[in-house]
Amino acid sequence: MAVGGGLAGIGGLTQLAGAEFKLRSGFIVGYGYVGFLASWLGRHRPLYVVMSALVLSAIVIGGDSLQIDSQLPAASVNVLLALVLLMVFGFGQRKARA
Amino acid sequence: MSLLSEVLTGGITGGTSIQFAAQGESISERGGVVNLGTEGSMLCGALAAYAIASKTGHPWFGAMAGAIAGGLLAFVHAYFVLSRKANQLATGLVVLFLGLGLTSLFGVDYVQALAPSFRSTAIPLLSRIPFIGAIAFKQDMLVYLSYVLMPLSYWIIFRSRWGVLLRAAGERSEVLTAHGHGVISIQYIAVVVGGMLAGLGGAHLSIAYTNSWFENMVQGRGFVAVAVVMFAARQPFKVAAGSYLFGAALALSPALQSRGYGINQYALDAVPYVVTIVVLIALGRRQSNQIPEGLSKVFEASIAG
Repeated sequence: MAVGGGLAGIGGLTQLAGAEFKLRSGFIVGYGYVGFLASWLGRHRPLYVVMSALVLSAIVIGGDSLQIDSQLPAASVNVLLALVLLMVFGFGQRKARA
Repeated sequence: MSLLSEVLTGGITGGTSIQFAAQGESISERGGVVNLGTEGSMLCGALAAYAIASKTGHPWFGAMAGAIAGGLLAFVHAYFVLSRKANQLATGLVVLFLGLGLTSLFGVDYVQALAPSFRSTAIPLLSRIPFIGAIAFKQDMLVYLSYVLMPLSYWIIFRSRWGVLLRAAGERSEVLTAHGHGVISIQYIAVVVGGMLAGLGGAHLSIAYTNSWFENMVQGRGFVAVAVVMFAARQPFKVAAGSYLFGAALALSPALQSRGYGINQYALDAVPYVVTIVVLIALGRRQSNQIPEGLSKVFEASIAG
């Protein structure tokens, strides 16, 4: 658990140092939950998790261009995120987990 | 108003939305289903209540719509968890994102809209009790509804016939099956009722407490509700106490600031969480054996992957 927390801390550092360059409160809200889901999507295996994290982050970041291009709120992209994940969790993992 | 009565009044007003959601979550968890999507149900309830109240002009229609919307989102959770056997924790978070996305998508039109809200109405005799009357009985109708909900929730879980079935579904679902009851249908009802209560909580936020709608307005109260339920061991009265405690700690910060105490805003923002966790841990130490067995299976299965 401590290692997990440490890695999550590095995740926060990456976002701070690599993408935002400033500390404002609440800038990282929700990313932790996406990370949790990425771990589930990758079935807790490191290599798969890297891939699933890339896919999920592409969807989440896609929300920004959605807002710029079509005036929809950026958070609307969560609908797409949720539908994809529900399909995978609900209909995709039957064999793997049985 | 003195500091104490201001904090207590604010505690009841601010804690009510959490109480609705937490009572719903306890019913759901008693049946063996954790719903981390409570936050999503609250968001859907808040938006639906605000939208319907502003369209029809009646806050009660709004409250009903909020309950229905919260229940619908919880139904999605129930379907994937109970019928498709997906993991409860992961599905709950996904359902939260679904609620967050749907409400920000459809909520744009209502950010500027006006809606009628519940006004605070004093209960005739009770509101004249010194000190307590002004705090507890000069509130809005949804707060009074939550007072009724407290004993009602206790009665349903511990005294009603359906409550026995519910707890059996959470503890030993095999026994229920052996007696010829449908476990899944009981759990469906529990999760959907839980979502409806969370929706009512969201409705209290949008059409009684803040009287506005904005994106992600629940701001973590759904997760607080889930945490309160776990620390309070799914006992309706303790759950209510925990919710009001959190509400009171939330009310502390503005009350102190209006009196000119120069305390760091961010430190004050953390107070509700610290106080709630410390008090509930101190009160609930002995109750680790009261987790319904069906629930502990969920956590074990999640760890095993």
